[in-house]
Order: sequence, then C-alpha cells, then structure tokens
Amino acid sequence: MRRHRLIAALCGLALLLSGCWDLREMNHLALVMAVGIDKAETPGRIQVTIQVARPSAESKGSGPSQGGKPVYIATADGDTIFAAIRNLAQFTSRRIMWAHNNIVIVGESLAQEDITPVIDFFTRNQELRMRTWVAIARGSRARDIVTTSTGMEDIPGISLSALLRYAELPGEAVRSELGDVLHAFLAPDDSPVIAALELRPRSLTPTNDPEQAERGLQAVLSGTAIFKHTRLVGYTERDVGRGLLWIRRQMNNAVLSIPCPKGSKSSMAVEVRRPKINVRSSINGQTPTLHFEIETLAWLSEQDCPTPQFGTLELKRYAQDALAKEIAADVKDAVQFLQQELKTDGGKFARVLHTQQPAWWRMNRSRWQELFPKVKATVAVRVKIRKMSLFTRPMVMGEIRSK
Amino acid sequence: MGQAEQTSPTSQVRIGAFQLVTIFANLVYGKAIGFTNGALARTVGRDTWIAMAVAFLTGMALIPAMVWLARRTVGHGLVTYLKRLLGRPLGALVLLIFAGYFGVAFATSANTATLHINDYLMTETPFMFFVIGYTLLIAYGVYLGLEVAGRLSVFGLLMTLLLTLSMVAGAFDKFDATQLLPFIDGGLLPTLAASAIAHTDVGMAVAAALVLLPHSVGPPGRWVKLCWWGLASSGITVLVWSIFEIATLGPEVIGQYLIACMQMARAAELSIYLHRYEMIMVVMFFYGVVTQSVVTLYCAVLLTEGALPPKIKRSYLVAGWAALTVPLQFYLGSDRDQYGIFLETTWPVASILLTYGLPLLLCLVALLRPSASAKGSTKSG
Amino acid sequence: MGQASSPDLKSNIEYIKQQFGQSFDLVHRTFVIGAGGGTEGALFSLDGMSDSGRLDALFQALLALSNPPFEQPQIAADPMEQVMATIIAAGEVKTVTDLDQVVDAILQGQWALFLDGSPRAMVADLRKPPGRGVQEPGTEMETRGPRDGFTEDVVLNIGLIRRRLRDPRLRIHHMAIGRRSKTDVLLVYIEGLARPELVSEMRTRLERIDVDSVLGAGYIEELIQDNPRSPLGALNYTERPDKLVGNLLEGRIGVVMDNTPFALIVPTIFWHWFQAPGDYYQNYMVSSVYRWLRMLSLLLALIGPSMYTMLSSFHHEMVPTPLALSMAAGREGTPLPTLIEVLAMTITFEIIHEAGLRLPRAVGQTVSIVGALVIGEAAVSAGLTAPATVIVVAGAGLAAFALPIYSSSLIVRLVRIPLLVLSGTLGVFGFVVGTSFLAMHAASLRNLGQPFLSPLGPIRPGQLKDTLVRAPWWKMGKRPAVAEESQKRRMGKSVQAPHPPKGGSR
Repeated sequence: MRRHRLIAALCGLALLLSGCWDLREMNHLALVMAVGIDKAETPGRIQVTIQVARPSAESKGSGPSQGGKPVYIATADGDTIFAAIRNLAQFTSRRIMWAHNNIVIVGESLAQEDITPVIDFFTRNQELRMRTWVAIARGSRARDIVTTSTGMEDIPGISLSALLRYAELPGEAVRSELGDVLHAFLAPDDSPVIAALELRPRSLTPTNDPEQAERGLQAVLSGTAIFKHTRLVGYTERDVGRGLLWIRRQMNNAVLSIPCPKGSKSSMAVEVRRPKINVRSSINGQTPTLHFEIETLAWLSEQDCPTPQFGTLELKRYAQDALAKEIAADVKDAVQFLQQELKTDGGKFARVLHTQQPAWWRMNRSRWQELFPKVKATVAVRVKIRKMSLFTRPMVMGEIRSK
Repeated sequence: MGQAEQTSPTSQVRIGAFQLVTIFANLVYGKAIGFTNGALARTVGRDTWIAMAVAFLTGMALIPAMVWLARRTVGHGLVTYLKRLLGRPLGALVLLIFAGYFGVAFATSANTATLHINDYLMTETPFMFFVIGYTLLIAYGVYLGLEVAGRLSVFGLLMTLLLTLSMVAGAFDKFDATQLLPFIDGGLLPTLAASAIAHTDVGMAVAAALVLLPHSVGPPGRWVKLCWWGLASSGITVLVWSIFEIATLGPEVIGQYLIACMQMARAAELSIYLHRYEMIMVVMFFYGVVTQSVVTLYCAVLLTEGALPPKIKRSYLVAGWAALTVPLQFYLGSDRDQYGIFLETTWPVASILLTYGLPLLLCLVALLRPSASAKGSTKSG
Repeated sequence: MGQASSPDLKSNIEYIKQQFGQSFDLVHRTFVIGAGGGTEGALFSLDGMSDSGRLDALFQALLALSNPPFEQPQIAADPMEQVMATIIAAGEVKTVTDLDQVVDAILQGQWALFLDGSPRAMVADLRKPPGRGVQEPGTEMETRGPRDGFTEDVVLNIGLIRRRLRDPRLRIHHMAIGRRSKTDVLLVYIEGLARPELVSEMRTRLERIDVDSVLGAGYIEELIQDNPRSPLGALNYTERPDKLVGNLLEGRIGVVMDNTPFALIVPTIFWHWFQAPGDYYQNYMVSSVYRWLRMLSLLLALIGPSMYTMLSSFHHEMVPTPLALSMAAGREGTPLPTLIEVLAMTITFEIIHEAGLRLPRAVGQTVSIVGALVIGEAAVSAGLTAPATVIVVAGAGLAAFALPIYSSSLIVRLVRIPLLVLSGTLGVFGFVVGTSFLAMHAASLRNLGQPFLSPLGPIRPGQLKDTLVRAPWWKMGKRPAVAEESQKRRMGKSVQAPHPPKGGSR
C-alpha cells in the first residue's frame, strides 16, 4: 500500500516538472494600451498599429530610468488582423499582451468598407474584454489617432478610454463598448453605432514632444457613427447626436442651450438630469408609430441675459418650455436624419417593435429595411426645473426687480 | 491520514440535512451557467431563462418519486435494494448502467472545470494536463469519502454565492430588462423542448438523490423538502446567471460562445480599479465544481462497488474509475465544437432516459413488487 | 518487581550504592536511634532534588526517638512501624519493600530511610526539584489577563490549575512515561464534563507510549495525535493556566507534564488557531474583529505569495492597469522569474527568523532589524527582486505570526511553500488544485472523533458562538459539543444581558 501511495505521489510531482507553458514574466510582455485597425496600402490587407506602454518610464521608484516617451508605437500589415499582429512580432522585442487594451480604433476607410473583421477578431480572442471601447477614426486613419497624444495622461490610450468613459458629459456620442457592438452586430433587430474620434488642432500649449508641437493635433470626441449592415454610412452632429442618445434611451446627462427671451442674442444653459425615457408603440393600419415620452428634471445652470421681466417662477416656466421644445427638436432631427438621410435604424426602433409588438414584428421583419423610413415618431417632453443651481432668483444688476 | 472512508456502502456514512441541501445546490451549478446557457441561447434565444426554469421545475416535480424509491432503501442503501428488487444479475446490470451515467456526468463536470481554465486563463498548456491533474484531485476527494464531500459542499455553496453576487455587482449597470422581452419569443413548444438541454444538469441532482438520500441524517419525512430546497437554491443562482447573461450581453452574443459564463464574467467590471476579475470568479467557481465532480464520481464508484463482487477494495475502484474517465474526458472535451454538439443533442437524450426514465421504471417495478422493500426485513445488506 | 529489600541494612545499602554508582549527588547518612544500643539506620537522597532544609527537621524527629523521655518498649520486631507511627516531619510517607521502587523514589527526589532489622524502607516525599518560580509565560502574552504561566514543575502547575478550579471533580490521573526519564505526565479533566469515552481513549493512548524519554510536550503530542502524518494534525497547547482551565471547562482534556511549561489540550479543532485567551477578557466586539483579523492573516500568509506569483507570472489580465504598469516597471531588469524570486525571498525571511531565534538577546534585536531592512532594500536596489516581491513576502511572513498558537504559524509557513510552487508553475490551476486539496484534507481530519473543521463543516449553528465571533458572555450559555451531553448548560437560565435597573436610577 505504501508503495502505491509513493507511486501516486511521484506521478503527481512529475506533473510539476513537465514545464510551464503559460508562464510569461511581466518584463517580457508588451502591454497594449490602444490599437488601431486600418486598410493597408496594398488592397485586401489590413494594417494594425499598437500603442504599447513603456513601464520603465512609468516607474515611480528607484530603477533604471530611460528617459523618453512613455509609449512605443508599432505598425504592421497582414492579410488578416491576426496575421498583422503576428507580423508585429517581427520587430517588437516582447510578446504582445492585449489584456489591458483600452480602446480599439477603426479607420474610416475600413469602416466604410466592412467592419466585420474588427468585430470578429476582437470578440473571438480570449485575451480581450467585452468592455473595451470602440471608436471610429473620423476623417483620418486609425494610426493617426493612435499615435497622437491626447489628454492629460502619460499614456494616450488611457486618455482615450477616459474620453469615452465620460462621453456622457458632452452628451453627443454613444459610449460604445465591444460587447454592445457585437450584440448590435449579431442581433437581427439592432444596428451597430460607434463613437467617432476626430483629429483636430489643439490650443497652442507648449509641449515636450517635438512631434506633437509640430502637428498640434489631438483626438476629440465627435459624434456617433451609424452603420448599415457592415458599412459605415454616416455620422451624427451636435443636435442630431444628442437626439440619437435620446432615442436610444442612453441619455443621462447633458447641457443644452436655450435661447434667451426676445431681445437678446444670448443663451441660457440648462442641465438635463436623470431623464426618464419611455417608448411606446402602436400600429395604425400597417404603419407602426413610436411614441417617445420624455420626462426629465433639469437645473438652470447659466443665464447669460438679464430677464427683468421675469420673476423666478416665470423664468422657470419659460426655461422649461424652451427646453422641452429643444429636446423635441433634437429627437425629431435625429429621427429624420436616420430615416431620410441614412435610411438605417440606428435608434433601436426594431428592438422596441420586437419587444412590444411581437406579432407585427414576426410578420414584417424581413421587410424592415423598407419599412423603417415610414415609421412615424411622436415626441412628448415634460421638463421640471428643480432649481437654478444655487440661485433662488435670476441675477439682475442693481435695478428694481419685478416680483 | 484522515479517516478515509473504508466502509461498505451499506454502512453508516452520514451527511447532515443541511449538507444534503448544499450538495444538491452544488450538483447543478457548474455546467449550467456556462455550457447550458450558451446552448439554450443558441436554441431558443432570449427564452433561455424560461427553459432553465422549466427544467428545474420538472426536476422538482420528480423528486417525490425519487424520495419514495429512496425511502424503500433506507437502512441498507440502493445497492442491496436493487439487487433484491430485480434479482442479482439484473440489479447489477442496472447498477452498472447507473454508474456509467454518473461516470459520464463526472466527465462533463470535470470538463467544465478544465475547459474554463484551458480556454480562458491558460491556453498554452495541453488539455490532457488539466484532465489528469483535475482527475487526481477528485480521486483524492472521493477516496476521502462522502462526509468530506458534504463539508466541502458547504464551502462550495458559499463560494458560489459570492461568485454570483460579484457578477451581479459588476454587471448591474448594463442590465437591460427589455432584452428579456418578449416572453416566449421563440414559441412555447420549442422552449419546452429546449429545456431538455438543462435537464443534463438538473438530472445529476435528481439521480444523485436516489444514491445519497439513504445516507442522510435528516428524517425521511423531510427528504422531499430538503431536496426541493437544494434544487430551488441552485435554481435561483443559475437563473440569476441566465437572466443576467441575456439582459446584459444579449442572446445572440451568448449563443456565440461555448462557455457563456466566462464571457459574462469578462463583461463584469467593478469600477475602473477592478476592471477584470474573472480569475477571482474562476477560483470561486472552481470549488463548487469540485464538489460536483466529487459527488458524481463518488456515486459512480459506490454503484460499481455494489455491482461487483465485494472483495475489491474501494481505493482500487476509485483509481480504476479515475483512469477510465481520463481518456473519456479528453475524448469529449478536446474538440470543443464536437463537445458542444454532444452537450446539445446526445447527452440531453441520454440524461433524460437515464435520470428520469430509469428511476421511473424502477418505481414502477417497485410498485409491482412491494415485498422487496426494506420494511420488515431484519437482514442488513 | 525488583529486588526485595532485606532486613539486613548493609545489603540494602550495598544495593542502593551499586545502583547509583559513584554518583556525586547521592547523599548517604547513617545514624543510630532508639534506646539501648539502638537501631542503625541509613538515609538516602539526591542532593539538589530534595529539600535539604526539611532534612534537618526530619533528622531532629528521628533523633528525638532515641532520647528519653520517649522510651518505649520494643513494639514489634519491625522498628519501621514505630518510626512510621511517630514521625511527623514529612508530608507523604509510605513504606516500600521493593528496592527498585526505592531507587525510583530517590530519583524523584524523595528520601529513603532504612532501618536495620526491618525489611521495609520508608520513603518520604520531601521533593524540591530545581526550577524557576512562576513567571510570565514566554510565548503567550496578553495585555489584559493573568500573567502567571506554567513552569517545569508539574506539581506547581497543578497548583496553578487548582487555584482557578476549586471543583472537587477535577481529576488528575498520573502516569510515568518514558523508560529512562519516567516523566510525570498528568491527564487532567473535569469528571462529568469530559466525555468518559474520550478520557478512556486518551488514557489508552498515553499508556501505549513506550519511549526512552519525554523531554517536552512535543514528544507526547506526536505520539498521541489522531493524524500523525498530516501537517494539520498538531494539537493545541498552552503555557497559560487560564487557557487550559477554560478548555477544561468546555469539556476538553489536558495533558500536563513535568519538565515543560507547555500543556496539551485535546481535542483540537481548526478554530482554535484563532482563539487567543485575551479574546475572553476584552470587549466582545473588539475580540470578534480581531478574530477576523487573524483569519485574514492566515489567508494572507497562506495564499498571499501564491496569488502574487500567479498574477505576476501567468494572469496579468487580472491586475488593474496602473498596478500592472508599476509591477512591470518593478520587474524591469530583474533576472529571475517571479517564482524563484519569491522562493528566495521567503527562504531569506525564514533565515532571518531562524537566526533571530539563535542570537543572544543582546544582539538579537539589532541584527534582525538590520538584516531585514538591509537585505530587502539592497535586493531591490541591486535589481535582484522587484519591490512588490519584498512587500508581499514580508507581509505574508509577518501575517503568519498573528496567529495565537505559535506552532500553527509554523505550519502555515510550511504549507504555503508547496502552494507557492504549485501556483508558480501551474498558475491558477495549481492554485485551485492546491487549495482544494488542502480544504479536502482539512475536512477529512478528526481529532478524538470531533471533525477538525467543526462547527463549520459540518455546520452546527448552536456551536458557532465562539468560532467566527466571540459572543458576549451573557450569550454563551451552553458548552461546545465536545462536552458531555448532560452538562450542556454552563450558565444559569436567569442570566440575561445586563441592563440598568428598571425605573431609572437617581
């Protein structure tokens, strides 16, 4: 019996000796912070650009410091994304690790052609997370955005992910994660929408980086890209972007400007807080109608014009009405943009109809592409301005106020 | 070494009432949240959770029959009873078939653990390595006996609850209840038929009831309730996963993956500081699956022991079963897609036949031959 | 049965002297007592083991027998009778006819008295073995609680127990274990509280021991353990009488022995590893939190290095990005893989600890501090290890010492090495397999019939009041399951949580 135990123990121990296939020390890894996918110059091939963090420049303690850039950029071509990544190993001295990748940027030309390779590779691979941000490089190549220094972080990839994480602050672009994009891609009742990043000149601040000083560009969130099937068909701007968020029920917080009362060219700023967006549907004859019911609280955050004619309550009422009109206009603009210009359902209309009118959907889903532009939409907005930040009455320069 | 169980299956190995509940809870969990959810999403889309719930309810409905049968075996175990009911050769055959079911069930359970690690966390290591290592661990657990499995199951359930809580906390912000609508999107009949896939998990518990109940400390009058509690608690935890998987990632996405729960775990994010904690979740998950594996293999060993002549030492049987299941696990699990198909088509059918059909048949025979029952018998085993 | 003593004094003296050889410390005193020619006698004892002060008193008493007016007629042929009847200077006195027993008695420090003409020898218990007085226990210091600790004198130890437990049902069963050491080993329990079957089992085990000597508690411990081959099988022990008495009152059994201040307590369960005597003297909320702290320390000590190795070598995706970047930066330029580094640092830490034990008290503090700081700092500066490694290893090492039972912290430090190697070579698979194995093994152990992990595996809700938390005293009305069934209740039923008197107080 004792011998059997010994044999069993030795067998168990032998397993330890067989080697460690998965063992990789951290200093042999290249941690990718951002990746850009473009069409390569040669047709049919794909170009991958990675932004890798350089830990020694990050090191806070005592250690050999190699001055220089905190990131390392590498680019390679390949027939497929995976092939291109493997080709990167031809000159990067470390094994590339995707686990900390923050964002995937897709070049506009590739997105206009076919976004499938990007979605397929990055969701099939076991090293990537479902919560990685995705963005389209609007008007440029992804490589340019990946190589541009943006924001306040040492590593631009981290800045970019922060941009998308706080995208609700400007309130014009969706926060597109890989999981969302995959879901929209696979679902028969949804279309992918992806945030767009654009390269724009930054204000002229001195910078250590000579390359940056030359170009003076930074990546800026700039609307949402709408996809029809697998192709990019258009971008939303400003109001339409906001309207899209309303329609998709992804609006959480935004600052809108409403015009000041007659006689003034200035505006007032109102902050939308905690909106409740409800979409109901009804079928009239063969045409479905979607009723958007928006109820939101708001704060009056800035008033750029004097309003001696208004007391507090009247000012609030005025602002509420103006805001409601503004929101309704945004939604209508967005619906029109989707239906007339792009003819693509980026607003989850199909999802609503599928959920609320399953019978209708089952009958008509094969014709959805032609039916979509005909769907009617109504908007009803109710706004309640709770407070005017800290002020309890409008700010008026030393004059007699009306009560 | 500890008090390894060297006793015969008719002896007084006891598990407590609470441990029975936790064993049941652990028996269903492991494969269900990953493989079964994925398979169901592929088959019935957003009605995954409905199909899962149906499977659990069916299992619960069958428990009284199992308990009825188990009560007739009190005092000397399933083995002796079957031999008495059906005669020695037929009884031994049924025991071996039953043991075979548990053996394959163990293989699926073991593959759950090994595939989780091999596919997501350690991809370069050869699959066979995990198979052997895991089987050795489980063989040790089976060697230690049922009482150890009972104690381990309490710990396993705690870990499972922690795991579920951490997943909910991390995925809560992306929960979109409208993804679950409309109900019964794919039709009632397909949903009911798809619940067969979930029966592969629930069936393990139902079948194990027959084997484990005679060893339970609780009074037989409470057995039905205890089993229901066990199934209900595991059902709730599994359903939470099903619902969250559909509501956060969507049925189409879940259907893409063989191991859906890991994708779910990867989509969970606890603030920006702990943005990826699926490894912790795998560690917690592992202990529940270990319990599941130990109990299924234990049942297989126990039943084989009863079918074969009594002179064979249990440790040899454990070693034998371990050696047998290693190639089985490898054969089943090495080609992932084939394994998926096996889990979706072949195994549900076999499961239903063996875990529902066979015991029900035994119930029928027992009704026709009441003399074989334990009551009034003075001989033990 | 050894050599019988004979009435002939000379032959007895010969025998004793022959048994002891030319021992320097054997005291041999001859004398003559009694009127009329007198009876010759001889006293033997071991200098240093017996109380020479009381010898004088004994001698006076003996000599008084030969002085008038104490003349008595010859009572019997056996002069020992007379001496036995009249002598009062010693406490415990008995007669023995077996010369080997006399030798044993002398070896224990007793006085042996021979009289010519009597086949019996008198043995008087005037022992005073050398040893220290009661001092503060060296290993289990508590800030609030008694400061007396056991010593190497078993009689003194029993005295310390008795003063706390004035219950006549405290049973002390004596055994002399060890062929050459004949160490006094005492089995201590409270009759009626400890289950009789446990007591008889312990007796059997102790009586079964057949060794040369028992020089410390560890000898006995290893010979009576339920699980001798498992690292988790070590028994609970203590240097504090209050801890021993507390356990006795819960129905456990103690083994107190000579030559060591450590007493064993059986049966041991896993949760004893977190129970410190001070828990019961401090506020219960504070004690409960500190208990959790100890459990956390155990976890940290056991799996801390393993997790770190695993994360650094295999599963980098688990680490939050800023931490991953610092870890990667820390690893730049280090020559060794993480596993080897952690192992080397662990071994270094153990060396420092071991060296600290051996250093004379005068230099011990300085050298160990300097050693730890310098080695850690230098290793990092030289680029030999990552700073995180030093932190993790030092933290884990310190955490192990937070456990009240010192031997359990040693066990933890031992067990974490295989776990570390498994995690470092097989990643998370090694880790979970290792911890599962450990859990299964711990779940399978039993001590004197009680499962090692109870009351949490199997769960007994009524028993949990002293496991994860320390329930307030007004809630701990029942004894643990190890005690006898009929004596479950240990507090009066009318004891409730204390509260201010009704009607207010002015």
